[in-house]
Amino acid sequence: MKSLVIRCVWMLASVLFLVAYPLLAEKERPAKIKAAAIQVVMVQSDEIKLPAEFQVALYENLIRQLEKKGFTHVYRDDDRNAENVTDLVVLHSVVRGFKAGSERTRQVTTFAGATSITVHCSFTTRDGQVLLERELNGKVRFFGGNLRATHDFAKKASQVAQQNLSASSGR
Amino acid sequence: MLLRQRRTNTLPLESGSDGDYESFAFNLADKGPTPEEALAAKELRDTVMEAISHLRKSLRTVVLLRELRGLTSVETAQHLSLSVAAVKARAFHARRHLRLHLERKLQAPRRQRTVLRFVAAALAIAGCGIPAARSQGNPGTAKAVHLIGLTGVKDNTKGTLRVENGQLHFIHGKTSSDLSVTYMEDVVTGTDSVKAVGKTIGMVSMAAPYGGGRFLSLFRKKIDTLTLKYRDATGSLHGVIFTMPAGSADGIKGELVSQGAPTSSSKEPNPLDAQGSDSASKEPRQ
Repeated sequence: MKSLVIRCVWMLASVLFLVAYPLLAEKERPAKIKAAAIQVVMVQSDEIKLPAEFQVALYENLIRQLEKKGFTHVYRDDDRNAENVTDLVVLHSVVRGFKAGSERTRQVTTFAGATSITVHCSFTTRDGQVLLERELNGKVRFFGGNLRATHDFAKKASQVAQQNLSASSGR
Repeated sequence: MLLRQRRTNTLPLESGSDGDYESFAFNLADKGPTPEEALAAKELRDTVMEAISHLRKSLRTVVLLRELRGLTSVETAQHLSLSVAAVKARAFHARRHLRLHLERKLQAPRRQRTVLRFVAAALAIAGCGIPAARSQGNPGTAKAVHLIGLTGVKDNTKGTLRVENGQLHFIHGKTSSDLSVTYMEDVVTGTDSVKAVGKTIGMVSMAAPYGGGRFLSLFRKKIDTLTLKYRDATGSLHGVIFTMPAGSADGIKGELVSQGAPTSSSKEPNPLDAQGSDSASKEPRQ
C-alpha cells in the first residue's frame, strides 16, 4: 500500500514536471520586441560583388516571406507611408559571403556545386538603434536554380523575425 | 525739415531734357536678375525643395541643417544627438536621393525628345515600306518569364515584354502589367542557363536508372535575365526579374535606356564568372 502511494506521488510529480517545464522555459525566453510594422531596406553588397538578380531576389523574397509569417505591415525601402508608423522595426541586410554554384554540377554530381549566400541581418529602430543581429545563410544543394538560395535565406530571416518580434497590428 | 529737402530734390520725369531722362532711366535700371532668370531660379528652388520634401524625415532633417542652415557635420551630430558618422551617412544617402530625383526631373524633356526621335524613325521605316521590325526581330519585344517582383503577377508567368512609348509592358494572357521608364532606377542584364528538358519531365527523369536523369541535365539552354529596380508612387523600392531567350535581353535594355531608363554599368568582375559558373552577368568589365 505504501509503495503504491509512493508510486502515485512519483507519477504525479513527474506529470507536474512535464506540464510545468515548457511553461517555465517559456518564461525564461527573452520578451519579444514590439514591432507594429517592419521595413525592409534593399540588400547591400558593397564588399561582395553580387549579381543584380540575386540582390533583387533576396529583397523581394524577404518581403514576401515576412508577409507570409504574419507581419501585416511590411514596408519597402523608402516607403513614405512608413514615416509615421510607431514601433517600426527596420531590417538591414548586408551580404557577407557569396559562393556561386552551378545547377549543372549539382545535378550531375549531387554533392558539389552548391550555391550559398551569407547575409548579416540587423533589426534596428528607425533611429538606427540595433535591436537584434543575426548572421544567416541561404543554400541550394540539389534541386533548383541558383536563385533558390535567396528563397532559403528569406525563409530563415523571416523565421528569426517571427521568433523575436511580436507582430502586433497597432499602428 | 528732412521731408521738405527730399521733396525739393525729387524731379518729375517729364520735366528734364532727353539726356537727363536717359541718365535717370539708366540709374533706375534694375541690376537684379531678369524675369526669366528669376523664374528659372524659382523653378529650380521649387524643384529642389520638392525633392527635399520627398526625402524621409531622418534624411530631410540632416539636409536642412547641413545644406540650408550651414551647420557642420559635428554641429549637426550634436544637434540631432547622433554620431558624426551617422550624419555623414545620412547626408550621403540624402544627396543620392536628391540627385536621382533631380536627374529624373531634369531629364524629362530629353526623354520626350528621344521618344519623338524614336517615333520619327519608326514612321520613316514604315514610310519606306520595309517591315524592319518584323524581318529583323523587334529589339523592343521578347518572350519572357516573370520570375519575381511584379505586383499582381504570379511567379514563373510566361508572357511577352514590349517597350513602347516610355513604358515596359509585360503582356500575359489578356492582361498587361505596365511599368513606366520614369520610375525605373536601374536596368541590368545577365545570363543564366536552364535545363533543356522541361520541368516535370526533368524532375521525373532524375529517377531514371543508370544516371539517365543526370545525363539529361547536362543538356542546358542559355537564357538571359533582365533585372529592374523601380519606385512606385509612395517612393518604395521594387525589384523585378525576367528571364528570356538568350540574346533578347540586350534589345529590351537598349530600348529602355534609349527611352530614358537609367542603368548601372557594373564594371566589376562578376563572381559567377570568376568561378566558372553557368550563370554570369553580361555587363562590361574593366
